[in-house]
Amino acid sequence: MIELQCLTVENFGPFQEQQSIDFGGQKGVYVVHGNNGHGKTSLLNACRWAFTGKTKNRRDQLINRAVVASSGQGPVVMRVSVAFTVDGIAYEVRRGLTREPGGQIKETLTLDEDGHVLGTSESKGRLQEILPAEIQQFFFFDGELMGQFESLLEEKSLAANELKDSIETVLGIPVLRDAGVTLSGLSSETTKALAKKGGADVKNKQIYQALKNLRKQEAALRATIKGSGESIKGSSSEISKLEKQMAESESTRALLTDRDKEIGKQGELVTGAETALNGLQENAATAWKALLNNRIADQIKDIKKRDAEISKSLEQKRHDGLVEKMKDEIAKTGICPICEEKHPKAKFGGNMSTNSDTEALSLELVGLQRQAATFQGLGTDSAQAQLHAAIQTDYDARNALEASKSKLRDIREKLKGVNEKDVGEIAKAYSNHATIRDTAVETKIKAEVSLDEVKTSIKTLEGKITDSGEGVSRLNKKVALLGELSNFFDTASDRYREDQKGRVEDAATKLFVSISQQDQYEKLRITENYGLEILHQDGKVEDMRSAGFEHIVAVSLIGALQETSPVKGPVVMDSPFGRLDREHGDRVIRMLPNLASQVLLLVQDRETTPEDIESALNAEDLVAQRRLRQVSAHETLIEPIKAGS
Amino acid sequence: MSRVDDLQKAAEEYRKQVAPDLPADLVTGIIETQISLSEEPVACARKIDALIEAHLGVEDQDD
Repeated sequence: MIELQCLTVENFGPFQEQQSIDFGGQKGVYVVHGNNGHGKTSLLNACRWAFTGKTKNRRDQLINRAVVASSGQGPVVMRVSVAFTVDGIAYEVRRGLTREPGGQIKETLTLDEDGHVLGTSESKGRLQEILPAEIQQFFFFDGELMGQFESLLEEKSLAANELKDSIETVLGIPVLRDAGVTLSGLSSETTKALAKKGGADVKNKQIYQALKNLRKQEAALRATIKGSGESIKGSSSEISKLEKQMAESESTRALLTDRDKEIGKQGELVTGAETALNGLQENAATAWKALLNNRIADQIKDIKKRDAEISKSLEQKRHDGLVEKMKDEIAKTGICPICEEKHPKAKFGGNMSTNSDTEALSLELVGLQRQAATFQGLGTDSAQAQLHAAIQTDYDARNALEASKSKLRDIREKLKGVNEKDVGEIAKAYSNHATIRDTAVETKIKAEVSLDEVKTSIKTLEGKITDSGEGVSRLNKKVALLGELSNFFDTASDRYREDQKGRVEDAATKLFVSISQQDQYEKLRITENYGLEILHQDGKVEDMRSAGFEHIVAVSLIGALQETSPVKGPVVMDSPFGRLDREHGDRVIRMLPNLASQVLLLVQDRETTPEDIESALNAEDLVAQRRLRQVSAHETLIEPIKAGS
Repeated sequence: MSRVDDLQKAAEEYRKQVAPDLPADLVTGIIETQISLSEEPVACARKIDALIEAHLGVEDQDD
């Protein structure tokens, strides 16, 4: 951990005489108050320049203008020095610019390490090792950096990519990744050397060619496994995000399904109702017959009664005729035609009906039967029954249609305000990601099986070469070791990235919750790009972030990076409360001792006052407060804060 | 804990989990070299190569 002892400036920016900010190695917050143009940003630049040699200004602009003007043609020397410790070892970096009489600028750098002065090149290397220039922005920052953090949520922007690289650097991820790349390069070199050496032996030439091909296959399979793994990770992450939304929209989706079913059903019901109505109209056309039904039924009844009477009369007449005929026979012959016995001749007399009576009755019967058939042919019974059935069918069809319409109205009422497109897109995205994940899982499994086979083949072939010549065996071992190391560092880099991201998310959430104090916010969620999304209690992402909350998220990210980074050191913040209201500003001040072990806070009175600082921080967390007093446009003094000043 | 220690500790955890056969001191040495020579990739590769050669040399002696 880097701990500041003392920052000293001389002829730097608005500071002329040698002046210091002295931490004395104490942990806590050092506050410097000053208005615009009084030199706050110069103090930030002095720290940045001392450690990294980087500055946003031209070098000649760093030298105090009044001193340059008063020196005439004489040389001017500007110096910045920072005394600090790293894990107990004392360092002092001294950077200086000398303006030569001819106007040329000469830069000097020395670094004392534990009392030994290092040369310029070694000093640069050691400083880069202590605090890499690529990550200085997370230690020395201003409002501009805060604004850049917003770009991390715009995943395709150039600024986001640059910042993402810086964040990965501060988290130490490139070390493991670059080690993998270095080892992979060495592996290629050694493989070539091996092929050259082994290839000279004709006997082994074919084996080396086969090995070369197998190693190519091995590399391709590893790339496939890695790519599939990333794809699985990416799609799983999207799926887990979408799962919550899917669960939330489940009832809506069920309603949409019901609605679509009901619409389909309603189409059938409309057709059914139309058919029923047509049936009713057709039956109504013959329904008038039903009105005559009773009368016709009476007529038919009368006809049937008369029919029965006539039939009976005709029967009687046929019987009487037969008796008369027998009597005539007996009268003529004296013998009975049935028993063939002799009977006394007798004269029979009686009321014999004439043939004309029988014929008349028969004719009437035929007439009646024809009349009955005509009445029955009118079908009055069936017409009435059919009309009743048609009315019922029409009634049922209209009822079913109304019930369906009512159900559809209810569903539509419940769906009011629902963005159907969003719900559909969530389901579609979920399904797409699930397909991608499943495909990637399948590809990965296949590639892993193939990789095992290839590795076995390589081992078999390598075993055959081992005995073939001096030096070859050693190179083989080296290739194998380099391959294993390279794969290990690739895997370690991926895992370290994921672990570090998880730690950043947890640490940022902790800070965010303590500063924002908003009950509805559950946590911060880190994106692939290291952007931080604000999540509500219900899991939804806050998409209307105020400028103030952007600022709080940025402060939380910086604090989280400090906590998570393998490089730990002081934080120098220039006007960090620009977009925060007083209440949130005070919360950030209270949180500063947790942000880093040492914080140099450069603020305007508009942002906070010495009294506010004293009331917000515990005495043991406040190292000192200073004020920048402007003596002239090019001269500022760093002075202790007097009571009431 | 220094930057090197932090990374070495994490790498050692992963090594135990995914590649326990790899020599721990070699992994540690590679990380240290990668940090100290991050600005000089060629020198970094040569030093890592030397570390590996030294490791194989020790193995040969053991054989």
